[in-house]
Amino acid sequence: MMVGGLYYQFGKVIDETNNEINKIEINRAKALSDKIILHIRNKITGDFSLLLQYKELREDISSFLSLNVTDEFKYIYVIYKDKKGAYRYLLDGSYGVDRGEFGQKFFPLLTNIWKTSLKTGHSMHGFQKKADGLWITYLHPIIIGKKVRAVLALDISTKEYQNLNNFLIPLYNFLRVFLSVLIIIVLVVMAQMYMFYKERKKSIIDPLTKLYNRNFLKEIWHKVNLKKISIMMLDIDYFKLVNDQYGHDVGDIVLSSVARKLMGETRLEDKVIRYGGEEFLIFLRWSKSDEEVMRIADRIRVSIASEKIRISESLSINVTASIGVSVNPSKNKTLKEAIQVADKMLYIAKNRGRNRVAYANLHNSK
Amino acid sequence: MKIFLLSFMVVSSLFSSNVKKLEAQILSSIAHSLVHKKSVNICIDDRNFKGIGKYAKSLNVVSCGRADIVFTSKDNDINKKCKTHLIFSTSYYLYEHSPMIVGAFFWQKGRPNIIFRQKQLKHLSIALPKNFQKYID
Repeated sequence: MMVGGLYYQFGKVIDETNNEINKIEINRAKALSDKIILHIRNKITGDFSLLLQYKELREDISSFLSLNVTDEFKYIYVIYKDKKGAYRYLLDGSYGVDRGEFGQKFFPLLTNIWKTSLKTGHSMHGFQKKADGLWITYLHPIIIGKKVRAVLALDISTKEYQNLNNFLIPLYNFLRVFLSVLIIIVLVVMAQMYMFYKERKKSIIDPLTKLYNRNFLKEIWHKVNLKKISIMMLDIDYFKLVNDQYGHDVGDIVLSSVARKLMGETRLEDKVIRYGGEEFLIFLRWSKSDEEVMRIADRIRVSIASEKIRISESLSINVTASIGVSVNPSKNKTLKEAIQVADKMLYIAKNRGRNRVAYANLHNSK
Repeated sequence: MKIFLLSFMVVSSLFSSNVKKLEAQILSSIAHSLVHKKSVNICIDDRNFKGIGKYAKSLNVVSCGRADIVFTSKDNDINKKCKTHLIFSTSYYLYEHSPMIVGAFFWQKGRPNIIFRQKQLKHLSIALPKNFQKYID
């Protein structure tokens, strides 16, 4: 998160720095072009045609342009538009193969800024993307007698820009790689965690009923606060007969169906555990009164008994359950004891004829 | 240091291959605008354009005697040695000083430049395609 923020901030800093450097360069180009224009004006004393007529005058001003050529301002030249609308060199401060001869056709890459500058008489600039080693082209129109006669062009080299980038970009790239590695590590850790929780879930969930199994009970054994729960032990009546009469597949359907009913009749914060074959243990979150616990237990019993379990088109089975409840297990010393009490009550419920609930450890009993 | 040198070499070779590709594309366009053949035979007499043939598949780099066009930067009586009169310069200076040269392709101020001489095009009865009209001078 922090590295991500740092990366984002650094990107912003680079953008802002680039913008600032651009502004500075454009201002420097403006200052230099102002100086050059002043020099040209003084030389031609208001008569632009002198420049077209006299080679010596052109060479004189071109020499002045050459004096201003630096590593930063790589090319300084003046372009005019002929009667047919073609751009041609008028003056050039470059030497060697880069020097444009007087009258030589010039093909600008950033056509729009040239057109606009010549048309409106405004200074323009553009960022070079296609020219080799150039960063910005700055154009300053030469206006004589309220008419744009030519354009002074300053090509700024990429050197300054590279100097900045030589320092900032590697740092930015390092952050990018670092962030990528960090993201990969986080993703791997998340995948591992996902796998871990998936496996853990498998180990504590009974695959048939989707209820918690005894592994879960072992996990929470020492965390259970007896003061905050009631304990129910539930057993499906005559389940062995179901298995014997209809087979284990039907038995499994009955178990799943009862499990669904238990989930439906309890709350999210209650824990329903498949304790044994057809035996279920329920930790009921603390209720306001004994009566409420008794009401819930009976509701569960009725829910199981009242609705037949549909096995197939032609077969539906009616099952019942007996429930033993330890309403207030804190009267026991340990969880083991409390479960034993609920189990004992289940035994009593069974003995009293099944499909009923037996209670122990009521708050107002001793 | 080794890594730095290696990366410098890789970057510079990538950059130079990009420039070569661009040059090859331009030379190919020029050659096909002047000679209406599927595969144009060209002769290049300029060290800077060495190896350009591998980037332009529609150009065959051949000797001067078999060339449809000669690209040259030197004024060395090329007109006499080669059978073709279609000579294209890779230097503006040579173009300026040799009126029989039909055009020039050269780098100036970091930009690629193309120029065609109208008089010579007329003399050789060459009509350039529309997209090249703006380069005629």
